[in-house]
Amino acid sequence: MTEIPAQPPPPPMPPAGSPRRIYFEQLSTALLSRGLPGGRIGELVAELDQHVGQAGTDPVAELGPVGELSAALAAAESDRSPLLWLLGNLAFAISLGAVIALVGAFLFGRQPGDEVTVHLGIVAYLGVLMLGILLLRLYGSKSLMGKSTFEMPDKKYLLPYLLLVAIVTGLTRNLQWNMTVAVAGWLLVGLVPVATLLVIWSLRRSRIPVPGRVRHLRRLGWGFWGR
Amino acid sequence: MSDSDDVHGRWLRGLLEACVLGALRTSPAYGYEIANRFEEVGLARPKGGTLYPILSRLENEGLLEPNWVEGESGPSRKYYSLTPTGTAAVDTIAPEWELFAERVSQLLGLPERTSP
Repeated sequence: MTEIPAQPPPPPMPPAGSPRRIYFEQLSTALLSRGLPGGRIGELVAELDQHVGQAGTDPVAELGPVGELSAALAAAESDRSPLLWLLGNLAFAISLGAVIALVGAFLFGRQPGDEVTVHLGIVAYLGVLMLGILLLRLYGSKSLMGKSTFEMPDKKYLLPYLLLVAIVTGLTRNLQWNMTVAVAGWLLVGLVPVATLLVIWSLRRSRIPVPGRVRHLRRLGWGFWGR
Repeated sequence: MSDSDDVHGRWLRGLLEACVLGALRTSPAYGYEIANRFEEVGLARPKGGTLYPILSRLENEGLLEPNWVEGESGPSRKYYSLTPTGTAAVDTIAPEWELFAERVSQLLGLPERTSP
C-alpha cells in the first residue's frame, strides 16, 4: 500500500441510470441541501460507494433510504462546525433585527422618496431579542412538548455565543454608528414583504439561505440544524 | 436472523461507538473492514447506514484519524486509525465495560468469573 496525501479520490462513476448512480446522485443533492461542503460530500460519496460495491448489495439495503442517511450524516457533521453554528446564529439574529427595524421604518409613515435611517444599536438589540425568543422556543419545545424542533450541536457553545452577541451589541452601542439606508420608500414597499417572507421561510425550515461556492444556494442551518 | 442475533443487535445499538473504537485497537481499517471485524468476533455486522455517521462523529470528536491510502490494485480507501485520544477512550471504556458486564451478570445470577 502506498500512502497518498489526505484528499478525497475522484468521484466514483457507476453506470449512468443505474440504481446505485441514482442513489448517490440523490444523496449528494440531499447532503448539499443540508449545507455540507462539496468536497466533503465527494469524500463521503466515494467512501460509501466503495462500501456498497464491496458489500455487493443494493445501496438502499446497505445504507438505508437517502433521507435517513443524509440526516444522520449531516447530524454527525454539524458538530464539525461550531464556528459556523456561532456565525449562523449571530447572522440570523442580527438580520432578523434589521428586518424588524426596516419594517418599523416602513410602518411609521415613511413617504416614498424619504431616506430611512436605521440605528445599528437598535438592530443589534432586536437581534438579541429575537435570539432570546428562538432559544426560548428551543428549550420550551423540549421541556413543554417533549419534542424539540431544533437541537443545538452542543450546549457548551451557548455561553461564548451569548458573550459574542453581548460584545457586538456593546460595540455598536458605543460606536453610535447609524446605518443610513438610502433607499426610497417605494423600494421598501417591495423589500419588506420579500424580507419578511424570507424570515418566515427561514424560521419554518431552520435554514438561512447563503450563497455557496457552487451555483446552487447552500442553506446554512442557523445553528439548530434540522435532524 | 436468529433470536440471538436479534437480541445482540439491540444491545449493540448503545455500544456501537465503543465497539468501533475497539475494532480499531489493533490496526487501522476502512469502513467495510471495520464492519467485518464485528462479524469476525460473532457480532452482527453493522449496516453502512449506521456505521458511517458514527465514523464521521468519532472523526469529528478527534478520536479517529482518517487517511486516504492508495491500494496496489483498486481505488484509494479511507483508513481510520485511533488517535491518542481514541486510544485513551478505549482504555477508559474497557474496564468500565468489564464492571458493567459483571454487575449485569450478578443480576442475572451468573457465576462470578475468575480473572485469568
